[in-house]
Amino acid sequence: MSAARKGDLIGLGAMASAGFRAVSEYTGMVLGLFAVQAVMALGAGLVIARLLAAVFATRPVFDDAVDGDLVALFAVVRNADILGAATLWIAVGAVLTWVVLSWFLGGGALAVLTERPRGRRETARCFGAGGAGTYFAFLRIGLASGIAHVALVLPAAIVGVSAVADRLERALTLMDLLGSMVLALLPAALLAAIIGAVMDYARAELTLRRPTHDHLGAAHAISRALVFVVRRPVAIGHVLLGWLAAAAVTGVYGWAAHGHPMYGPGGAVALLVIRQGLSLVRMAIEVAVLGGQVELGQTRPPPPRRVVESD
Amino acid sequence: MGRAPRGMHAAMSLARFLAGTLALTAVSACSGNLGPPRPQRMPVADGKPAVVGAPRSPRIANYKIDAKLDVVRHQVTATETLTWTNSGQSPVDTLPFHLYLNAFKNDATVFMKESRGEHRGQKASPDAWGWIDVSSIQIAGAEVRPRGKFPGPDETVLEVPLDAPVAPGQTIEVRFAFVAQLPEVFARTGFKGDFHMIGQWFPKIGVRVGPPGAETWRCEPFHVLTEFFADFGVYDVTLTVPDTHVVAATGVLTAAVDNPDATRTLTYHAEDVHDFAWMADPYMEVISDTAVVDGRQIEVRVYHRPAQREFARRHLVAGIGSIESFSKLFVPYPWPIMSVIDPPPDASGSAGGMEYPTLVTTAADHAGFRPGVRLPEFVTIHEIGHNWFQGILASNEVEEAWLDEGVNEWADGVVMGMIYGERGSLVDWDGWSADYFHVARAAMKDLGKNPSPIATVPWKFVDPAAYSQATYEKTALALRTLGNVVGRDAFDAAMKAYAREWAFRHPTGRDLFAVLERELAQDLSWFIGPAFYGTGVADLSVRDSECRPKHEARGVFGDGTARKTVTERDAPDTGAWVCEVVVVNSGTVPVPVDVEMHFADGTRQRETWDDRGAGHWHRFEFERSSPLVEVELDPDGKVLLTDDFLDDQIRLHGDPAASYRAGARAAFWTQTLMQGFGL
Repeated sequence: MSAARKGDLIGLGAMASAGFRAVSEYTGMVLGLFAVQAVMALGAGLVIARLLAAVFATRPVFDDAVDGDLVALFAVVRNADILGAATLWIAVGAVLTWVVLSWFLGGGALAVLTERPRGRRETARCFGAGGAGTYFAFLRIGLASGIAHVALVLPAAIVGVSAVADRLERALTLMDLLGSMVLALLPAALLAAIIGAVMDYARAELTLRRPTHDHLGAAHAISRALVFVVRRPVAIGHVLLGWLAAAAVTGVYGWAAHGHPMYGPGGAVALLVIRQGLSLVRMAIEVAVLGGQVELGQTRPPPPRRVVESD
Repeated sequence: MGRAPRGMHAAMSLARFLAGTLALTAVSACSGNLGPPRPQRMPVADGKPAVVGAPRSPRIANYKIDAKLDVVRHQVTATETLTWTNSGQSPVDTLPFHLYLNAFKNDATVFMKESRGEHRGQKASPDAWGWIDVSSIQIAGAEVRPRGKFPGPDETVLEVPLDAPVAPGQTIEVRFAFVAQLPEVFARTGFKGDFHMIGQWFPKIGVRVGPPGAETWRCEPFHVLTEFFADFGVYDVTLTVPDTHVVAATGVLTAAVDNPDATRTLTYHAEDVHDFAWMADPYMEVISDTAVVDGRQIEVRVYHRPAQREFARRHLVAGIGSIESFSKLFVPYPWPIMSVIDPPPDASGSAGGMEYPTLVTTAADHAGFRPGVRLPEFVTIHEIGHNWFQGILASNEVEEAWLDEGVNEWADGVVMGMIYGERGSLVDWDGWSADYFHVARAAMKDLGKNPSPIATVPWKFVDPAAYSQATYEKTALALRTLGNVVGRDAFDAAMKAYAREWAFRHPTGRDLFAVLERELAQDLSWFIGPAFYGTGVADLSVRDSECRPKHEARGVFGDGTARKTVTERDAPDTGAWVCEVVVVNSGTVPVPVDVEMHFADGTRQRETWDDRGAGHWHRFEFERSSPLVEVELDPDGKVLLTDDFLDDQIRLHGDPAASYRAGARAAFWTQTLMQGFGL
């Protein structure tokens, strides 16, 4: 059961602990979500592979390009720009499909973390019912999130990068370059964190109140979440902490992998396994963030219930 | 003051944090402050002869200039005395002078119209035009400025008719007084903040060319895609600048004196050069070292702002290596000093990457170019290389840009290999390596679709991209291909002969080819014609390849009672394989090329196909004990003047393994994106 009660003030530590609990209690769900994502990503990779094979299977220069020959890679990229665009759009299509599926999967995961069912069967039932019950509300939240990102985050990023464009162009050290980039994107990142937190808490709110407030709509949930997030900046800090954790494990991977390009067939298998491990850890972090959000969401009082008078 | 509710307080904190972040971003956009300029230490005269040994050139156009720089108005006020000798065999009744700075006078000049106010991605400032105002021209004591006229479409060429023609062999002295207003730099010359790069700044006489007795002037308006052409001479230049400024200039410093008005007068002397450029800046530092050429020490200096020290060290290594390598390959560097200016980052794109005698500007200092990614070094090597290709071999850059830019680009590739090793000459970083020539080939797309040949007058190219592709990379790739075909050592020796024969003269493209044919003792028209005067390239590919098991003939043989059917059982496979490979060159440049066949048992067979006069295709037929699995055209990468080399090597049976490896990598990045957007 949840450690927090309504009206309690909980901090980042409690939210992080709730996240760890969520992952450890529902490891199967984490693995299941990861499996769905991995299948979709690998499916996109397979389509890309077949597309590349249709053009390059008889051209050994492509083998050289994949296995680290810079000139061959340059030539392939330079001379196969249409294929590059096709590859990119396949990836974008897979990501969009995942986003659409996420409205169901996210609803299911939040329902499980809220109701905390016991046993595999009960968890599956809860997951399915939760995902289906909130799907259309989550869709509306997802669209609102997309609009907010395009309207606020994107312009902030453009303005930020424009402000330091000269510095980026003239950066003499990596510190100059990365520091400028971080500063340029910081406002946009903060806005994204705020919007992300608002939308996440709107989803948590919908899930938490579903049994008692079935009239609660997406717009209402978003407005309540906005007030909640503004009053509880720890919610934003928690989202940022999640990002930081994901960036940290990615950074550790990058550091460890540096100098080990893992070319050739054996290297490719090793790379696939290691990278899937990394993706699994990042998926666990995502679920842990959801767990923390449910924990915090449970501390706020529910909205007033609509009273329906009858004769 | 009342106390805000808790929620409001948090919201205000958040707003303050966001505002702070925005302010931090804005502040970071501002550049660092170097402090007020301080007087510089008095420079010491170089104490070296301006050129080694006897005069190297005919010294036709000699200049004495006395100039003062106003660093606030960015103006140079000067007097100039030109001593010019008619070295031709026909009399001269008009003197034309380049006034290059007038190219930046308004947006109606040839340069500005052709460039649309943009040069190498840098835009002209609408508030800082450049111009040169020649207030006086005196010949033999008479003022002739009023007679001067601008014969061209703008004011970049001034012609002065003479009272009496200058007879062959006669020398004339012309005195000028002028003010040069520097533009905010966007195309080589001008100022940016406190940095002043001063080139093409004084009235400069044209060049007489043509057969003896029928010489004509070459003094074109300043076009955006052309550079410069001038006669060799001796320059004596005094520069008066604030004592806070570091100065670098063409030639050697012979004297330096401080003036009472906090200025300093520096005297430079240069011999056997055809231009004079200088830089003045209050924040430059200098590092230097020596290159050794024929036992002689050449001082290489790199001028840089403090923040660019690390890049300056890289430029210095490249500078020393290039002075030594170019000297070895062509003719020894004849001057005692080479100054490399590393412009400040905000002027790098506009002032960087330009060559003048004994002084060049470099560029490409950027955090992205880590040590081993040698773009900055390449710029330095390229610009120093111009001290040979066009500094010493003073070809007409205005009409044959490829002869200095392209030939220099080829030489740069060779020199990069000499300094850094051929395999990773351009990139040798983090496990990646690439050499200049193969990167250039891989970077070129649709090389054969450029509508203009290499040998095209620059302003007649369809656009700057076509000019750049043909003049720089295509020329370099053509020369490298020719070198690979005739043998690199022989080719390098022939290029050295060209350099020695034409040093301190004005060679043309035809002079280059004549020397190459003579030195290589062969007719090269089969290559030079289509490669330099045509628009095509070699376009090699494997059109067909097939292998089948060998057996005696099968089928029906004979008539009537003699008719006999031979089946597979009667004529079984022998175990050998009959293979055919058809290679084609669908381009317009014929080249001999190696063709390597790979067989299933791991053996290889190499053949050579000489396309010259062979009908653009060839069929190889052979028998082997093992089937053919792969055909590779040009396995040693000798033919660089080619389009789309992806189909130069083919497998007979597709192997998608690499595609799956690439797909697995794409899957990971797709999954990473998914984790950013979903759930």
